[in-house]
Amino acid sequence: MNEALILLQILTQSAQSISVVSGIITTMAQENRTKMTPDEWKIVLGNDDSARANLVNAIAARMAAPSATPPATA
Amino acid sequence: MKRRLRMTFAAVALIALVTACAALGFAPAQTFEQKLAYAYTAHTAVLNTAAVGVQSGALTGGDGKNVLNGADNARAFLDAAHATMDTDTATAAGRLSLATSILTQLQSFVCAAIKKKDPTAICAPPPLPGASS
Repeated sequence: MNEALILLQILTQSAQSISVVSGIITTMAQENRTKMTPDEWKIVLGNDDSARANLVNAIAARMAAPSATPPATA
Repeated sequence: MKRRLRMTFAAVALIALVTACAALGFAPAQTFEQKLAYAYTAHTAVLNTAAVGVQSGALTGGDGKNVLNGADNARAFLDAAHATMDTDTATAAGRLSLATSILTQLQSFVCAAIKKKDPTAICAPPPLPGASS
């Protein structure tokens, strides 16, 4: 169950980060801006940093239990 | 277990699809800065896909570390491109191109591992949304 939530979170984050940039571009066009604001960049980079942390955590969990490729059945 | 794996690969497939599909209504990049922002999201997607791969067992921990190292290299090029995009456009473009190349190879590697685990999984290397427009 927890893994399902994690996967959903990961999926949501990927889709979200792309749609965020798409939204930023749309806003820039509406406001006739050519440069992204520091806050907009902070959002893009924050999403990326979160994704990196997710991967680091996944690696750490797997390295901690290398023989648990298929989780043991109860 | 099988159900969980199926869901994992469905999620990966969706990540790849969303990453690849600029035709889903995402605004195309008009400036270098916007292309760079999209490249960061491609980087994010590679990291997320790799995390799913590691969690599902398609990637070993060692493979995950290698992907992370490659992604960190790509991120360094993206950051360098970001830092110089206003002062040295040509160099910034070269750095973006290098980052894109690394990300494409990483995604191909992760997808190959996933398909090895489940040949029916749909996981295509993503062209960068808006980066080629």
